[in-house]
Amino acid sequence: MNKVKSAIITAIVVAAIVVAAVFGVASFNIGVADRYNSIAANIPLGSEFSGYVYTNVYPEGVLSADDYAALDDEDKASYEARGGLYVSLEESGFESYEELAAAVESDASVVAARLGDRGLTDFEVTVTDGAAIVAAVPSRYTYAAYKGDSSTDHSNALSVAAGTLSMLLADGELTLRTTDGSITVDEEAGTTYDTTRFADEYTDADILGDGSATYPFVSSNEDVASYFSSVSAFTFGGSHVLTLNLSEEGREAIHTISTYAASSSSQTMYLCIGDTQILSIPCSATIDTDVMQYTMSTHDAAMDAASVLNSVVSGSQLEVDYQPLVSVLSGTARGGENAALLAFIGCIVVLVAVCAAFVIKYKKLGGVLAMSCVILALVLLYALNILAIQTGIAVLVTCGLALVLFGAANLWLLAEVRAQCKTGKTMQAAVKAAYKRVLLPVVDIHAVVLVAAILVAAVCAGEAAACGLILVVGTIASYALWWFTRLMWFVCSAPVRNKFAFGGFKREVYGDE
Amino acid sequence: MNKVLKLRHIAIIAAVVVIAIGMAVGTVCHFLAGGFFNYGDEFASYKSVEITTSIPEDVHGDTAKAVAEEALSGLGAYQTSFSEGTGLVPNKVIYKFYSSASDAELNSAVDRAVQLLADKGMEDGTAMLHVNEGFAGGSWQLALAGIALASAVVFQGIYFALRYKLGMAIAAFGTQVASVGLYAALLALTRCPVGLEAIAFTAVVMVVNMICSAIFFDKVKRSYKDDSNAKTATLELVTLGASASVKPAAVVCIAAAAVAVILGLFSFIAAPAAITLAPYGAALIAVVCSALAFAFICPASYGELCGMDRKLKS
Repeated sequence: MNKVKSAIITAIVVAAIVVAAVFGVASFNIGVADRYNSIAANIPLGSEFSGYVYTNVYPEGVLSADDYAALDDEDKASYEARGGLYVSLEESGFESYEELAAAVESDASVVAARLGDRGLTDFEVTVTDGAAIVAAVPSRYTYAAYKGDSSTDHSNALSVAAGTLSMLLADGELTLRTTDGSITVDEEAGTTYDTTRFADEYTDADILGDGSATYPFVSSNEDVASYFSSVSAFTFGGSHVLTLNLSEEGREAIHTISTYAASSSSQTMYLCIGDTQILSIPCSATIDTDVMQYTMSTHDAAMDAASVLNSVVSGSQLEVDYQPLVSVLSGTARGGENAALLAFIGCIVVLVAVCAAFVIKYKKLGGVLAMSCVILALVLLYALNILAIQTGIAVLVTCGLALVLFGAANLWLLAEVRAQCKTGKTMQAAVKAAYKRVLLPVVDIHAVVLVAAILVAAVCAGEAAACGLILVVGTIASYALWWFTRLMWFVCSAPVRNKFAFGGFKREVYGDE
Repeated sequence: MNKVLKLRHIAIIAAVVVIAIGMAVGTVCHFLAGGFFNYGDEFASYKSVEITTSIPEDVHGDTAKAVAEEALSGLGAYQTSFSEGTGLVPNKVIYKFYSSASDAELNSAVDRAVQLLADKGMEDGTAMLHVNEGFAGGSWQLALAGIALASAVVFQGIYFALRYKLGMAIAAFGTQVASVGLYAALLALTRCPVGLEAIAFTAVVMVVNMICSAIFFDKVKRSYKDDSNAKTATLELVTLGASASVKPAAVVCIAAAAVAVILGLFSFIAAPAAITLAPYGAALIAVVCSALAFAFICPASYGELCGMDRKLKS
């Protein structure tokens, strides 16, 4: 390879890296109204870096200080202060504060289990002053959304988190409902309607959100939860599918109910938990199957529905009657307001330190290695963005681990090159021999790590799965770049006469020249 | 390394003892101190002071933040959070304190905050002390992670058995088990607060171990193939391989530890509280366990297996 070719290839590679780096990390305004947010600024962040979206759930008869302050003196009379909350046993329907606290505590563990089953590993469920639940899920804001540079991303992320919270905090019984008031499944003679809570859930709440009333299909004390044996969700080829597995009893009941639903004006069954609509089931014909599958709008919606339905189907419903969710709030990052920025700076420092160590140890060859390190960092950065991996501390440490893997493979190689040089081989022969000698062990390391990463990504959930996924990308990139380093070594050192000096090596025996 | 191999029985026993002590401490803590591990802040109970101001009075919540800063700073909050209100939803500043924080001090700070709110004309503002109890969920995720990681270790064993020797595969398997055991034991012993990211760091332990043991077994395998070592005792070759792999393995462990330290340092700058360092502490423990397992368990257990093999053959 001559000097010109070498210079052109090197220039192209460097230019590609610079362009990728600029678009990767630099955000800037375009004109007056538009803004380009970098790849790094568009990575969804974990709660350490972008905070939680949370809501306070108060049982009926329990008020926050703000709400209590808004009451008139007459209404205040029935409330008494309990820690930072105000409780009216009369309004709550419980005999004693201890009973209420025990029920709230039990509900909090149900909510925590639902969030865990939802596949979240980063969430908070706490009972405040024994009488209210605070549930928090990661906001998954991008840095641009967190800093207010992307209002669309901010509202989208907030709406997803709010949807998750409202779905998973649904309290009450599972019901199948219709908007057609004339439909009821035939009653056996003498059956009385039970309209108390946890019975038939006759409600005047606006469940559908359009002002229309809904009525339960099953008009006696039927347990609709027993119709289902389990609920699951999966995403395949861009479709988000909710699968409802019916029990034997459920198959018969759904057959009857769907026959009525098909004859109704809306031809729809609404699957609800308390006053929360979980699923709208189109029903133009009788359903006679063991498994019902429905497409949901998003992966999150499918996972939320599966988690809360599974919880209720397995008998874990919230015991206390809670006030409707008024609002969700988004707090500052768990790791401090500027945690994301400082973590990013930390990553840059790690990268610069690795590159500097390579250059110091291996001179210009270290520069080639540093170039590969930067490419690896960019690959990880772009992968985090494209795969929408929620990035928290664990994911950052795993990215660091991928860098360590790459560094270890290359340092091992260079140590071998150095050893080969000392046997008197020419530089090209030493490099060739070193690659040959360390190829299999380097493949060993990458293969074992890759399989481990795939297993973690496929089997685990939440942060652990995210770590597995980024390690899969990092391992593949590390191996590809290990070979790329050889190519760039060849390209960059081609015009250099003293290749030993290029690599920072010394040749001790000169017999074969 | 020579000494380690000479004292290999002691090295293995020492590791087992550390793991046993960690497990014992964890078990005792499970019954007496709320958990086998010291679960992180997301599951722990805490006290919080919540200051609210209404939107018309305090448009962006600056007064709420200023009052909180004046009344609550210096009391040792480990986390602060601000949520900007909208419409009828008030601005909210929350300062979180460990459960051990003094009620008297916090109540006095709340009184001071109420006074400051009144002084600043925040008629609708409130300041309240709350006691919060955390709840954990998702225990099945631990089981899934365990299955995934165990499968990865088994795969490594099979791979090493095919690529190297059965003894090496067994030693690698034993090292992985010991390193994960050491990690769990040290987390339980040090009471380092852990969240579910600890699962992710278990993968760090295993990956670092995989890299180090691959380096070691490659060196040993090469020395077996080298004709000049034909008359050298197997244990001697293991010692040589272990010595030759110490430097690259140390570089891997030091580099992994340096990554955790640098990231931890910047996180601490962002939120200077002990709890901020907890995940990085767990990561550091993970790397230390890998290093210890590699330095003491891997060559020692392989050396022991070679010794057993020699005895069987003779």
